[in-house]
Amino acid sequence: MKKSLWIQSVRRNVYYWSRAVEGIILVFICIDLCYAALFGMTGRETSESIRQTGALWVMLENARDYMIGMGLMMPLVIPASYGKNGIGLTISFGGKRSETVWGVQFMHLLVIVQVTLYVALLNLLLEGSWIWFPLYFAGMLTSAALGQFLLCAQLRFSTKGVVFTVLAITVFAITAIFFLVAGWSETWGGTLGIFWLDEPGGLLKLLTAALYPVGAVLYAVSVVLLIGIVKKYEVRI
Amino acid sequence: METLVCSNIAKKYGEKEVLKDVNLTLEKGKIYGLIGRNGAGKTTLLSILSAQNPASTGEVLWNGEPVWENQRALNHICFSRELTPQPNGGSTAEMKVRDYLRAASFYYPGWDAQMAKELLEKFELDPKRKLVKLSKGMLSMVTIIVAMASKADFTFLDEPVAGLDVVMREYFYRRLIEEYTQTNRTFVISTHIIEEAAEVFEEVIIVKHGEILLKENTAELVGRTFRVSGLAETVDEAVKGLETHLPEQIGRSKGVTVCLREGETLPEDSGLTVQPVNLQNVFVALCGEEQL
Repeated sequence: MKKSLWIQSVRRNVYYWSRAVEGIILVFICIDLCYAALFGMTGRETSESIRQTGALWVMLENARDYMIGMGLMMPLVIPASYGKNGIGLTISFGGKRSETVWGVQFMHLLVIVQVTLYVALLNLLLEGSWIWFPLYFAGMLTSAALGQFLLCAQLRFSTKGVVFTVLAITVFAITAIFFLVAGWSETWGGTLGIFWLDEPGGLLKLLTAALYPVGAVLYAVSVVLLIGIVKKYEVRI
Repeated sequence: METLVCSNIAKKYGEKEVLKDVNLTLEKGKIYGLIGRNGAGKTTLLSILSAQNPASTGEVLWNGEPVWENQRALNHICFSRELTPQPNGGSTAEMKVRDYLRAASFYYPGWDAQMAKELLEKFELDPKRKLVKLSKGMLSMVTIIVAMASKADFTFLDEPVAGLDVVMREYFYRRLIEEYTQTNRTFVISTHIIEEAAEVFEEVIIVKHGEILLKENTAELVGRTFRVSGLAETVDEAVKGLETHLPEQIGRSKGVTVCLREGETLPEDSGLTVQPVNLQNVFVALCGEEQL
């Protein structure tokens, strides 16, 4: 009986949360590909590079670079957008609170794994360097933790929490846009030797080593906080 | 017998006490009407019974087991909430009817997809429409579909007929009785349209100021309540010592609603007019006295 309840719980969380985020992940990937196809926003490609590598490879390169930025945003934005309603809905349908919290973690996992696989696939096709990859993954983990903190703020402070979330995401998005579009990535990336530039500096290793424990601790704290808040959450749908 | 019991339930929001020491037992195989004025605590009570809200004190037990964080118990309970999606209200408001029902189907182990489909067709609801685009009546239809198709042993409906036209209300009551007869499920229906639903309620639970005022067989409650009218002095004499409500005096004539307790009777041949009342009259007498 206990086992069947556990299976029921896992199955319905997989069904619900994967359906909830699959659409939006696909939308992000489509936006990424369309954007990459239509605009060369990084400014890194030249007519020479297009001639040498071909338009498709330039597009894929752009797509990968955009998705590195967008991908860092997605673990932050998706739980903050879907988490609160999903938690309310699943509890209202008779889901356990603890089960719902793990459902949200499954959503994080889905987002991180799919975005990482997508970026990795593009990088594989482009035969790009992998030196930035561990740092990127650590960034996603940190982003997921921040997204979960925003979700906690929404559940705990309702409208004020939503306003705070919108502000935080806006600041994050503007920073990311500046980073990619306004050339910060070039100067910062070039100077620090991070991201997709093939400059394996010691700083990169240091940042990666520092960000993993920070991300992991933030994530763990956010889960504990979410458990505490969901325990007292009153359903409103 | 399968039961859902809430013992000593209280709910506080700051200093405001919404529910005060509520004790209630719901038995399997009954249709209960939950009635009370706005803000009486009906929705809060249903939310706590279904573990959608935590109680400040007390606990809810399903067959002796706590309902809180108990999947076995929660599988037997469905509280289909009144939906009020707001524009820009997040992903639930933006959900399509079919997605909402699909999400519900994942969570209720006894979900009857055939019944959900049948009701969807009967209500002529477009499954592709977003919840936020639905009228109040259509939202009520969605909550009815979830409640009926969940097949949960204890099913709670909050204002299920709000916004429904008279034909659909009639259909809902018929379908409810049909389902009840076939499955012996328990339904608790919270409504303000009392008179219409009164015939369906086997028992009525009246909530007043966060307390259970009474829980009684509907026919018995209505059967022991009367409107007595006549000359003021005669009426006063006849109802002395009885539980009276809503006194109304015009000139020398007086009318009063009397709730007889066990063993009490009204004096015969007193020249008074004694009229039966309906459930709505009983409710107004018990809960609306201060306002009228």
